[in-house]
Amino acid sequence: MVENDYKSNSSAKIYERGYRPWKRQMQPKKMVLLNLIWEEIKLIARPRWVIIMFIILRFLLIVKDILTVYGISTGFFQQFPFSLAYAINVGNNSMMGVTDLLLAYYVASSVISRDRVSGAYALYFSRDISRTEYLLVKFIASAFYMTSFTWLPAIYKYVAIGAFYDFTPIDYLKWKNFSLLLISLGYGVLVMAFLNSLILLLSMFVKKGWYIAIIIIPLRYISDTIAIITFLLKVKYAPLYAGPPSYGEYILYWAFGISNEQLSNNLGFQIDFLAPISKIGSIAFLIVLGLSILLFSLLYYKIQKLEVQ
Amino acid sequence: MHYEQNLLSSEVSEDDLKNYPVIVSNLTKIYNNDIIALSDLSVKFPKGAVGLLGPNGSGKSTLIKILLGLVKPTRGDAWVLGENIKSSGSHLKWNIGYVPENDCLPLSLNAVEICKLFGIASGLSPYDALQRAHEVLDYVGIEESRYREIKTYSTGMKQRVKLAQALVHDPPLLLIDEPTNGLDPKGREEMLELINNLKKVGKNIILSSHILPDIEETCDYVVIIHNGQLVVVDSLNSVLSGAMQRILISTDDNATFVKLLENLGCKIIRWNYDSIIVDLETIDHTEIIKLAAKHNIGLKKLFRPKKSLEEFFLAALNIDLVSEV
Repeated sequence: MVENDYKSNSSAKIYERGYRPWKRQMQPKKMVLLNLIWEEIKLIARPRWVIIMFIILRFLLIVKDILTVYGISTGFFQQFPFSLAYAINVGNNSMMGVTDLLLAYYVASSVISRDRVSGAYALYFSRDISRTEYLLVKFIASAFYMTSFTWLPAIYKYVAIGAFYDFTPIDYLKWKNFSLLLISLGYGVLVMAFLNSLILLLSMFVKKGWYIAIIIIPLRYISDTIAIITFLLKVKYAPLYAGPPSYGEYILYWAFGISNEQLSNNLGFQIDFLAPISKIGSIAFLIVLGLSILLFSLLYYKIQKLEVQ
Repeated sequence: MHYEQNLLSSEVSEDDLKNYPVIVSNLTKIYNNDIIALSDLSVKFPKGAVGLLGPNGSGKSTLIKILLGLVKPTRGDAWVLGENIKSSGSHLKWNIGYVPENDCLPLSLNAVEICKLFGIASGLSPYDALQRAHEVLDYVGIEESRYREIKTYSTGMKQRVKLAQALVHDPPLLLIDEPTNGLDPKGREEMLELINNLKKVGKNIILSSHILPDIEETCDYVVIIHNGQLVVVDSLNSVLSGAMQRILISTDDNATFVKLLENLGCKIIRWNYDSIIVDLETIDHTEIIKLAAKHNIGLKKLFRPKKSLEEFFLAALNIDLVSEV
């Protein structure tokens, strides 16, 4: 070995603590991935404004949803014009609100955008983390938030509706009631899979998560507008023309087994021009499921082909 | 070509796997069926610090990426710390710390969060990762600023955090790519001191750099690759001692003296009106003194210049030196 005489001439700071070796105790792979997911979840919520915004918006939506449930239970909203009733019916409120979507965009897009902009991929992949595992860690961490955006409303609406109908604790646990909650939670997972894949895929192309919100939120409004127009024009499969963001309530109607007649009574006007709700709902379900799989596959492909600097 | 023979054999024995932290054998990487990044590269990296040199596009980065498992070789094999990169398990990467050349630190996180995150990704428990993050940040000299977001850091601080995250799991092998890029002289000196210190504590280091004095100050061996092929593998001492075969002369009439030297059959490596460089294998320095005295030419300088790694590097790649030694 060659001894350089560099050290003796150096005027650089001598680090007093020196290098401390580490006694190696490595975790099993499953634990590594779980720890990484939890770390990512904490890092997403690191900016305090995200937590504060989430709590404020969620609180406002709770108030709004409770008022909606009260309004429906008293028949109050049936006196309103069709579009308003349509916009605030129970099924539509099961969808993620635009305000929630804003946070969802932040959450889902920041996890991958952060690494893409900084080039941190290289640091992950130089560890024992495969690209597939990387994608799963990021997907699950953002899904934690995305699912909570859809699950929380479902849970508190279940509790609120039960309260209006004087449910006892046992009533809440009865299968015929509880199964309705499970259907809503299942729907939440489907929405999450679709939106999470879409947003993570888009985040592979933009530098900041907010750019995705700027692109997607107007699309959400446009799709809602199309839904209303096609409905007014009495198009047989009108809900399907509106695109996946508006499919949610029909998937729930199908899952809850609601008929056209029941829905007409609930809305206060006839919807017999529509194809059977169950058919529309099942087609919508297949489309969202197919798109979720397609988007996730594209995301997977994109991650596998990433050029690491 | 300049080789230490036992370092370039493509044959790999059991002893080699114990003695050399990194071995590549007939390694070839072809991108898109036509871009040859590495061509039948066979070299053994000795223990200690090894400088990896080569011009842009020579294949250095591809070699590092193959060792890290980021790129699959088209042909050939590589062993890191005795394990074949193709068949080894996850623990192979536990043994490697990587300091990339490019920006790689998430700007919105602070140094502790980064070291902890990549400590966890390296297999440490969250508790251990946090403890270890503080240790390595202490070591690289990131003090109170460790809780500031990386986007507020200077280039030198970012480089040290990059080194810290590579050390968080205490790997025996470090792959360091251009560690002093963009650093001021003080930052550079501190970074080189850290690398030297790591060498002293027994880390094996492969240092890829285009700043040749960095290699001279830290490395024991050099590996030079060009167009994906091995050009040189040798100890730094051996490489630099090659300079002893030449002498620098300065006289009060260099043009005349060059003619006199050429008449004696002396090989002039290059000359200008300030100096003449002569190959000592073709003339002895006493003959030079006698020649100057005989023709009454005043000798102003006569010494053996120390060859720099830069000169050797350019010569190895057959690139003419423009500047004087």
